[in-house]
Amino acid sequence: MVEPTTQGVEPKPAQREITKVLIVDDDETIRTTLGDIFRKRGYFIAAVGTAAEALEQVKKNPFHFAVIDIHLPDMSGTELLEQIRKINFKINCIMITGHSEEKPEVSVEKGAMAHLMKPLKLDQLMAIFNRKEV
Amino acid sequence: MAKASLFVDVLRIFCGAVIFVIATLALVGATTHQPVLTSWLPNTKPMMAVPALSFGFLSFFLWIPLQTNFQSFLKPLYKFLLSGIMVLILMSLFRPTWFETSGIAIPTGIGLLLGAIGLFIYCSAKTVHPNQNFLISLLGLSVIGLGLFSLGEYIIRLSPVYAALPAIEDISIPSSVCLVLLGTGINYLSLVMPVPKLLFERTLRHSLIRIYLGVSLLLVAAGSFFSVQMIHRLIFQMVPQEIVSSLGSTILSNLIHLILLGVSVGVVFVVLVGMYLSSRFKRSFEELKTLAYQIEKGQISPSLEIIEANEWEELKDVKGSLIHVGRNLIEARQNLESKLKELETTGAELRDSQKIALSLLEDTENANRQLEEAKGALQQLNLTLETKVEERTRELKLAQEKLVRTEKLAALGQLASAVAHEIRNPLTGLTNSAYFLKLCEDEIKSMEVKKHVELINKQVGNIDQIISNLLEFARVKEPEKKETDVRGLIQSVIEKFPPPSNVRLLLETPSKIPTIKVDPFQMGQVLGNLMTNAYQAMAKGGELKIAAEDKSGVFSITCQDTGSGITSENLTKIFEPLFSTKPKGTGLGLAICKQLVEKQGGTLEVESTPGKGSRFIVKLSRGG
Repeated sequence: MVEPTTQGVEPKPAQREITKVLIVDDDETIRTTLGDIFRKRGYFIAAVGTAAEALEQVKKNPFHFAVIDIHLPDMSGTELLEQIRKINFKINCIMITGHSEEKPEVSVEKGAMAHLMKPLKLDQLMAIFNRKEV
Repeated sequence: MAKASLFVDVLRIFCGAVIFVIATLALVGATTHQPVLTSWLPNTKPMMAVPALSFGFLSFFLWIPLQTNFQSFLKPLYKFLLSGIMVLILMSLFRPTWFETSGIAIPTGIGLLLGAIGLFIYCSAKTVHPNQNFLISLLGLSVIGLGLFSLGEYIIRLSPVYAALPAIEDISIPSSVCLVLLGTGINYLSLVMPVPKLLFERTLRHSLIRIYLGVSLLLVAAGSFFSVQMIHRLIFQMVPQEIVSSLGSTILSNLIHLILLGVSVGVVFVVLVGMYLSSRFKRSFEELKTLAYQIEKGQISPSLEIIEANEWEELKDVKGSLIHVGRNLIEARQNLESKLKELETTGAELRDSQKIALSLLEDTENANRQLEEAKGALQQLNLTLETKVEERTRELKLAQEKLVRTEKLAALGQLASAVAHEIRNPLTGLTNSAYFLKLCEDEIKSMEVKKHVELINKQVGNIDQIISNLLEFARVKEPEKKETDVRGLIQSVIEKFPPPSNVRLLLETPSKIPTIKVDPFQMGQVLGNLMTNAYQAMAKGGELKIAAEDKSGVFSITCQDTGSGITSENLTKIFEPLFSTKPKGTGLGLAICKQLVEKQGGTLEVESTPGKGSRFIVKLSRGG
């Protein structure tokens, strides 16, 4: 579990709430690198490898964003998305996948904010975050 | 018949003999002045009976031969009647006093009767020959004329003028002449006159002719007798009185009588012999004529072949020879005819054979021609077959290649799909790390590091592209066809893949271009790929011509560059997956393009000349 950090590239005003991001991916490298990038940006990060852990985190913390891999060992990312939305529908979920055949429409229909292909275009991801943060 | 013939002949000979005896007795009596012999005769002029009786005799034996097939009971009657008539006529001559004024009426009546009969025959005989016709008419008219003449004399005799003339005993010169002429005329008539068959039976006809003959000869004899009488008187009167007185009138008269009788008999004999001979010759000539006619006709009647015993030897020979020659001629003619017939038959057969041969020849020619045609057709068929086999082989090869390619692609796709996810995760890690490093640029001052971070990003991009391409195979989607504006499609592709600055783009699309039914996304992908390839082939610059053409239902889009071109060796491989001539090529672009075009129901072809450029032609049917 990665500890939340306040360090960011563009520090927000003090009165503003820290952006909490949940990373759900079974690939540890992705979890680590993505976590580092978000922390560098000053977000609170929680990174987990399974859907079960993810649901646990959602129940504990009011995340603003959740970056979810569609292929998870215990559950599909889409199912997880539905369950997360049942717990906290305010979380902005961004689905990521390495499979081109998975249709973005399905994710959007289930309530995802965006559907991104791996390898991630991080500028695009950051732009989504920035837009929602405002 | 033989019995009857014998009877007739016996009767005939008997009658003839009786008359002959009487005539002989009369002659002897006359010459010897024996009253014993002449007293029973009813006239004082027995000399006159001699020629008449002789004629009667001759008539019985020569000129009135009875037909053996004549009714036997009629024959003696006929002869008796005939003899009776003759005797009556002779008696009328010897005893003119019986007939005093009508003495001349007999020849007149006979003349008239015969004239009428002659006319009747003339009128009835219409089938006779024109020449004979003329003769008959002449004779008929002569007979009538004589009859009239005799009648005229009779009338003169009754007239007072006649009484003034010197009395010439019983008969006149005209009467004698008339009788001679009449007899001769009838005789001739009986010889030439064909009695119409319709009128009488053959035998009766023949008998009639004989009667005519006999009557005519009697008349001739009578006429001659009268003439002799007249001549005798004239001579007697002309002889000087001294000679008469010296010789004695009776002796002189008898002498003159004898001389005249001899002359008469001689003349009659000559005439009779002539007539006999002429009739014989005539018959023979008639037979010869008939024979000639029959030879001409081609058949000799057997009746003609019977050579009669009483014919002349020479004629017999001639006839025999003629028959022989005629038979030979007929035989030759028949042979000739039969040969001619055979020849005709042979000719006809030959003609038939010729026809058959010609037809066979024609058939053979036809057959040959058909054979040639068949041969030609067979060769053509062989050629076609070879072409077809080649075509099929090529098609099969293509199909096989396609199958191999497809299988290859499928295997590749499956593999790509399987590994894509696994590769993408580490790639994501790499990307993220690079991004993080970029975020830490304040802390990292080294330019080298920055450069390497960029390199990592670029390579990751390349890897991702390869994976994406590979994945395209893994899931070549069914095309979603819709009516597409090709011009617009090409424009959008050009916008997406703009040409480098050193490449001149030439667009050749007709202003009026129909829409085609294709998947616009996939077609865009194909065109983009082709254009990118073209740009890469023209690294040193060049010209890319994109043309669209709609020709008879086939829509084609051509991409022609002036690049390096493709060698013929490589030309067959360029659509193979993983084949690439480019240093950084994945070898998937053209393979994907081909697959996509084929999914649209079209074809992708290539033509290339190394060093000059390549031309890719996408052919699609307008209906999709």
